[in-house]
Amino acid sequence: MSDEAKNNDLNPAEDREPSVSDVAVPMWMMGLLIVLLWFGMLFLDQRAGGFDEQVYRPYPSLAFVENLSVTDPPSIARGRALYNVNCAGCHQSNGGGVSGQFPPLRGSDWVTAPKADRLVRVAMNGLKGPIHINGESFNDAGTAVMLSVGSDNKFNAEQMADLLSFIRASKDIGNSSPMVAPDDITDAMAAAESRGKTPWTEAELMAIPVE
Amino acid sequence: MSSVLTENRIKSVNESCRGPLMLMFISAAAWLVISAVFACLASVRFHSAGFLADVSWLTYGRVHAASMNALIYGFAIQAGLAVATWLICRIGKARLAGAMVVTIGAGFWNLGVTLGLMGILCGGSTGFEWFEMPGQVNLMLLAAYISVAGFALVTFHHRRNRDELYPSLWFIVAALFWFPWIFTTANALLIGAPVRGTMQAVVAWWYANNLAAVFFSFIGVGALFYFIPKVSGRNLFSRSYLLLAFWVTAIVAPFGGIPADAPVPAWMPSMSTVAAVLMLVPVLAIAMTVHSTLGQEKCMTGWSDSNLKFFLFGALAFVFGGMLNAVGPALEVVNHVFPPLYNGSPAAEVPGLGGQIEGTPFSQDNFVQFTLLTPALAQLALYGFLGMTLFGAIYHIVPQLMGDDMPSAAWKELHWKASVAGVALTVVPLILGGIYQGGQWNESLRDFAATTGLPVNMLRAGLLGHLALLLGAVLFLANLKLIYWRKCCPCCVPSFLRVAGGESKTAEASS
Amino acid sequence: MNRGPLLFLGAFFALSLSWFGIILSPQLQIGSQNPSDAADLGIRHPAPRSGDAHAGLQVYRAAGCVYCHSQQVGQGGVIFDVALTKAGIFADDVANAILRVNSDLGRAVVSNGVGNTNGFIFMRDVDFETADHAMKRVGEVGGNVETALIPKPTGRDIKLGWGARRSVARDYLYEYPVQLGSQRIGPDLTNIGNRRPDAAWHYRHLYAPNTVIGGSAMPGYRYLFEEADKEEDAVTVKIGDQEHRVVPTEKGRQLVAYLLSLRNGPRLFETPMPKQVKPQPAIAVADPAGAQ
Repeated sequence: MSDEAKNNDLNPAEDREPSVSDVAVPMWMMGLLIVLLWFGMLFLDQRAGGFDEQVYRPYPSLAFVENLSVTDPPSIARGRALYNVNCAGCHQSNGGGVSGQFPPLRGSDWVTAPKADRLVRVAMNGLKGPIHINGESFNDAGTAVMLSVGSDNKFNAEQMADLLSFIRASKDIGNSSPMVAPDDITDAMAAAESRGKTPWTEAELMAIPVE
Repeated sequence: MSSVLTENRIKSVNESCRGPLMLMFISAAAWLVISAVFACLASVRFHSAGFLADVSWLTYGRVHAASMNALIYGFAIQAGLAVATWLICRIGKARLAGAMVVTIGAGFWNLGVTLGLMGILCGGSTGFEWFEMPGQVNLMLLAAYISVAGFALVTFHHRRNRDELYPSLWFIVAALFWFPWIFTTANALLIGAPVRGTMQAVVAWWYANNLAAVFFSFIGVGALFYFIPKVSGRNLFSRSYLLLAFWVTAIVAPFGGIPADAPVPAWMPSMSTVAAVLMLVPVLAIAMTVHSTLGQEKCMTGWSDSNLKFFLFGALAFVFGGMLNAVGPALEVVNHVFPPLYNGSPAAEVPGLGGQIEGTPFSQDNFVQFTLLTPALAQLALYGFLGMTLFGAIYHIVPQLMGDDMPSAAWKELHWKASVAGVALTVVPLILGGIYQGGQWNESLRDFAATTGLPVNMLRAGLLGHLALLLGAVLFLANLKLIYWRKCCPCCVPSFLRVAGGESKTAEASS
Repeated sequence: MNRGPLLFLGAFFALSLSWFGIILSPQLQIGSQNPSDAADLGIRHPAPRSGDAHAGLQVYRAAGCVYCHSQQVGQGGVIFDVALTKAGIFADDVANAILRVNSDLGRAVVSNGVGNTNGFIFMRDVDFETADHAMKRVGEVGGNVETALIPKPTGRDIKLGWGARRSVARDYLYEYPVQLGSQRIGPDLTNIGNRRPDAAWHYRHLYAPNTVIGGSAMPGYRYLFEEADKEEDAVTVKIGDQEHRVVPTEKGRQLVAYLLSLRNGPRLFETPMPKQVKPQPAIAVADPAGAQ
């Protein structure tokens, strides 16, 4: 054992275990704990969002979030779902199109015209041949064809109206023209019934008034 | 005389611990070397992007994870467990119960860590920080842990010293309970039946925070408050200070760890902010206890003591890290409780809703989240506080277990110097890099790429620190190996020692 | 404190507290969320990944990308636009009220805007108090005047283009493991699929990061590639004077598919964003980003 004591040259005798004195915690330290707890509660009161699962930083409360939360008209929401499945592949989910290949919908004079009569026809029967959009020409070679979206009664008039409303009036696409009503669809199709189901050309469409 | 009785008892206690604890100490040191090698490899990847880019298992994400896990599971938990076991035996004056089982358990722990690291390197990481080892090895780790800690607790139950519990034991016994619970919870909720979505991140944060802020803190603080009075020959100052520190830490610390801007409801990061602020109280209590135990003078002269300086460094790192941890949250709380202090407008009732509110100086969103301050604090806690404390404890314990001095005092001294240099050279650049990022990442940041240069250079500089840590770890391992060979191999008396020797060799060979 | 059992019970109690606080109650709140079924969305968010993108998350995890890249967008605050959605019957009084709360607008712009039925943004990028005050002043005019508050998420990450809004728990419903990350040694990847939609760019970047982003500290991931033997799907990477023609391995393809699938989500209830109001430049110097 003397051997061991010598080993730890800086240690006192190994058998002497430290003892503990019992000085009470000073009042100021308890005070600090209480003050910090108080501050913590004030902080949680402001920044815990009422412990609600829907409140994230930096929003203060559920009521505040609810107040800001706005909803689209239901028709736009339904149209979005149709758009993502049927159109977004070419025209992109933001309606930006692909330069030189797929025409843009955002800001396009064909889409945002005051009346949707041309747009309805394009969507129902498709489009072939060259076309000019906001002055830029697409499909100069005339080989590409936009397929019909709504022929074969794939969609009823209401669904078509939802889809076109989304294209014309949703923030996703970035257009804010008037929405399209189901009646607009049925009217336009009735007017064009004699023409058949072949895709439209730019020249034909330009003959239809949209103002 | 009673002192003869005591001497015999202590001798018998040490003998009971010798086999299993030497195995754990030596394996822990070996893992420290391995961790340092991986850390060096990870740093090298910042020096040359193309270097080893063809080798999947040496990619940065894998060697970095391997290095952290070797440090946490191989070294810190193993050495911490061994020191805790010794303290329970020693303070309780009881022989270690089930030494054989403890030895086998330690062997399996090392086997588990080896397999776990191999899993990480092969791409089997779980993807949760500090919990990367593939789920399959966790059952082995848990069984190994229980066979070690379980018998430590049995020993605690049979302690002979029935005086009032020494404060170190509160911390250590609580820590031994803590780990299996958080480890099981993490396993069940991340691997067994994974929770959905963001809850995984919440569980992983909870686990890592409990591991660092409670388990490691308790082991380290428990060791500090035995060894500091012991080595300096003074009495431990104030049971009630430590009682306060213990309960506040145990209740408050586990609520920390949710980052300020995490994609979870606002109350969770806010709870963590408050928890980080409240942690100032235990840190302060612990700092004052260390200071009053040693006295003003010894706090200065202690640095020339070859053992005490390890503990002094550990305590200093604990207090510094604790303070640094609380700075951001404290400023945020003060900013919100007294809004006029920072923007002069008492009307800004709801910060964040007015455009430029983010301009609060030192808002923790800028300074702590995603910056290098996070790894800096982790490194400081793991190596500066826990690592250094455990080094000091091992240098104190091993000569008693083996009945001989450490073979080379010069190596020990060099290990100390290399570790101090290594901690400084890894932590300081990270802190500087973190402060730089925090300063740059404000509302007006428009070019993120322009702010990555300096932080990356700081990571590059870390290579020097990791090389120093590697040198220190090698010397540490060599010293432990040498005393083991010198004292044990010639005689190899009790049968379980032979198992111990064999296990430790396989553990190292396989790594 | 002299009893082991007391110590055990104390530790048990303390840990239970945090278990209930940080594990159980969040689990009850966000652990069983569903994809957004908000009526206004029309699409379900989030949608599970499939195919290569689904497998790519595991490549991302195995390579430890998470140690340098985060996948969570923060939001420093909210700023507001205020719009007039309906002028009501006292259009002139409304115009005067608008001019009083925002004197930067010219009278011509205001009377034009008030006449427009599609909404007129008369105040941009202001804090909540100012917006609220303006709405009250204009609302006082009466006569069925209607105004709308348009919240716009803002903050460092959003201005960096890392996402349009903050990340919320619901965004990660189908991720396992969730890779939020704690470091930004490289940029945030929440929205990388929108920011870098080109797969070839990602291949070049992964093979030799320096060749596409000068001074990048990212290590190369050449083990995700093999030398090209077929010409058509090869990616050419120029390192110095040397041209490498390589094709991604299956894992490389999966990783890039995953990266391309990372997109910041749409508006959710938790993160209010602008409702469509006719985006016309009411203020002479209109902020194009603010208009959308």
